[in-house]
Amino acid sequence: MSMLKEVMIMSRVINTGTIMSIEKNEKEILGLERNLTRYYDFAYCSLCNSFHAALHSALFAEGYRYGDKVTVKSDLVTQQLKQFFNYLGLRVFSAIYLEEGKITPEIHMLSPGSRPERVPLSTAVIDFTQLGYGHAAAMLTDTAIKYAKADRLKIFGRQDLRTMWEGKESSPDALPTIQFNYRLSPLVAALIRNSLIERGQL
Amino acid sequence: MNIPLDVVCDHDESDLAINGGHPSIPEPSRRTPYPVFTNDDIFQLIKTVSSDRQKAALEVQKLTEEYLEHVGAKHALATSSGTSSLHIALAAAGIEPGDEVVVPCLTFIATAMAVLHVKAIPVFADIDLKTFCLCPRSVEKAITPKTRAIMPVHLHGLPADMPALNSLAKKRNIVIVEDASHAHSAAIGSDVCGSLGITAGQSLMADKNYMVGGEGGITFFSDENLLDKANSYIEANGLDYQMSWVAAAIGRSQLRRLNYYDLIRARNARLLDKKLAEIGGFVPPFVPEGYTHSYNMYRITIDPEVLGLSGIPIGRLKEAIKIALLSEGVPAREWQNVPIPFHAPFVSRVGWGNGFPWSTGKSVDYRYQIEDFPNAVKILESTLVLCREMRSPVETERIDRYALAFKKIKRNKDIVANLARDIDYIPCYQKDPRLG
Repeated sequence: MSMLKEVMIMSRVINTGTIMSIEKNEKEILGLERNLTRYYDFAYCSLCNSFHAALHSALFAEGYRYGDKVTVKSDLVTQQLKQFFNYLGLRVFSAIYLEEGKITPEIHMLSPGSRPERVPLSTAVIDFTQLGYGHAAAMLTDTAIKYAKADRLKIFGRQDLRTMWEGKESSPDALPTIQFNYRLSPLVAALIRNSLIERGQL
Repeated sequence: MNIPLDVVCDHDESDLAINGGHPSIPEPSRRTPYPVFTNDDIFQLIKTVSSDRQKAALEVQKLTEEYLEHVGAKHALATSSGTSSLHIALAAAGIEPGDEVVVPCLTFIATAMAVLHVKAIPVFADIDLKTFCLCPRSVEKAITPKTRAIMPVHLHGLPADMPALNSLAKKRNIVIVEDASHAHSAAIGSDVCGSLGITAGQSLMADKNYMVGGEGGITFFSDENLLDKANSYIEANGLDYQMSWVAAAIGRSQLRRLNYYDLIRARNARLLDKKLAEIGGFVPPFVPEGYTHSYNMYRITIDPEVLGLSGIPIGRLKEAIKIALLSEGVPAREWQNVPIPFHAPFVSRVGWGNGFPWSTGKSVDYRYQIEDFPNAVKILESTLVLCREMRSPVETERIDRYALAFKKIKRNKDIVANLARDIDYIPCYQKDPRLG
C-alpha cells in the first residue's frame, strides 16, 4: 500500500475518534471481521492481536485445555509455536499424516488470500503479521458455541461488552474461565483491510 | 466546551432535570471527546510511514525510551497490552506456577488475570476506605507461606500506600509488582508510579490518561537482570507480545502533550474538589500529603449525614443520585459493580482447565464471601465515578456545571429521597458482574 494511502486510512480512523475496539461505535474491527467471514465463507470471525492469540482462541474453541494432548502437523510447527503450546499446558505430538493446511486435526491454517477446499463446521486461523502492521491474526469458525468460547477468552470481547452495556450477563452458557487481552487495535485492522483489498485478497 | 447557556439552568434555584427543569449540561454538550488527536499525531504518522518498515518498527523502541525517561524506572519493554505488561512484570519478578499473589478485590479484572497468566493464584485483599487502594492490614491477613508478591493497583491514579506495603513486603520477604495502569504520571514525592516496585505493568490503551494508538502496554523493571529475565521468559514461552509500530507512533506524539494533559486534569480536579467541599455531602477523592493523583478517574463518596438523608439506605441513595446526575448531564457511573473475586473465573476456578492453577494445592480457602470485603462493598454502595470527565478538553466551565448539578441535588434532597425510596433497587454487587 502506498504511503499516502496508509496515512489517509490512519487519518480517517483517527478522525472518527474511535481507536479502541471496546467503543460502542467501533466499526473497523467489525468491518474486517465481516469481510473475512464472507471471503473465507465462515460464519464467525474473531480478530486477534497476534497469530498465537488466534491459535489459542481456536484451540480453546475446540476444547483443548491445560494438560490435554494435541496432535500437530509437524512441518507447520515452529520452535516458537512448540514453546507456546507448552505455555498453554498442551502436550504436543507431531504428526505428518494430517491433511495439507491443517495445524491440528480440527484447525485449518490459512494464508491471506488462500481459500482452500474445506469441510464445513471447521475452525481456521490466518496470520496477517506479514502485512507489516504488527502482530495480527484472525480465528474463523462455523459454530456459534465455538465462537462464543473464543470470544470469551478475550477480555472485552463482544460478549463482555454486551454484558457491560446491557448490565446483564450476555452469555450465561459461555462464561469466561480465563481471559487474555487478545484485542486488535482498530487502526491496525483498517490498515490490514485495505492492504488485503489492494492485493485482491478480501 | 461550548455550552449554550440559554437552554441550561445557570443557577441552583431551578428544578432538577428529573423533575422537568433545565439540565445543568444540555444534551448536545455532554459528550467528552477522548482521546484527543492533533495535527502532531498525523505528522508523527506521516514521518513513520515515510520511512521503511524496519525504521517504522523502531518507533516502539523510541517510545519505550522516551516514556521510560518520563517514568524514571531503570528499564522498560513495550508490550501489546496492559494485561500482557502485567504478565511480563510478574514473570520477571520470578512468580511461578502455584505461587500466590495478593491483589486488590476492587480493580480491573486484568490485574488478577495476569496472575493466572503466570499460572499463579490471585489472593484477594480488601481496599482502604479512603484511598480505594490495597489496605495494608487486609494484605497482611492474606499473606501465606505461598505468597510471593503483592500487586498494588494505584486505583484511579492515586498511588497505593507504598511505604506500608514495602515495609510489609520486606518483613515477609516478598516482592512488590505494581499495576500502574491507572497511574500515568502519578507519584509519591518525585517517584513516579511504574518505578515504585521491583517491576510494574501499565496499560497504554487509548482510554487511559496516557495512550498509544489503540492497544498497548509497557513493563518497567528496577534492574537489568529483570529485563533479561523478561526477555528469556517471553522467548521460552513463545509469546508474541510486541506492540505494533502503528500504536507506538501515536504514543510518541501523545507523550509530547502528556505534561499539558496532566496539568489540565489536576486543575479540573482541584476545582471540583473545592466546589464539592463548598457544597458538602459529596466527598472528593482523598490525596495524602506528598502524593500526586493523576485522576484517571474521579471517585466521589456520598455522605448521607451531611446531605441530611441518613435515613435512606446508602445504596438506594447512590442509585437515586446517579439517576439525577445523569439527567443533569453529568455522566456519573459505577466503575465496577462487583468485587473481582465474584466474577465468573474466580468463582468457578476452572482457570486454564481442570482447575489449574488452583489445583496445585491451596494454603487458604479461595472461596470468598462478600462479607470478606466490607470496605469494597461500602465503596461500591456509596460512591460514583467520573471517568473521562476530568480530561482535556474539559474546561473549567464544564466543571462548574458538574458542581451545579451536585448543588441542585443537595438543594432538592427531598425529591432525591423520594426517588431513592421508589426505585427498584438491587445492591450493585448482587447484579451480574461487568468488566467496567
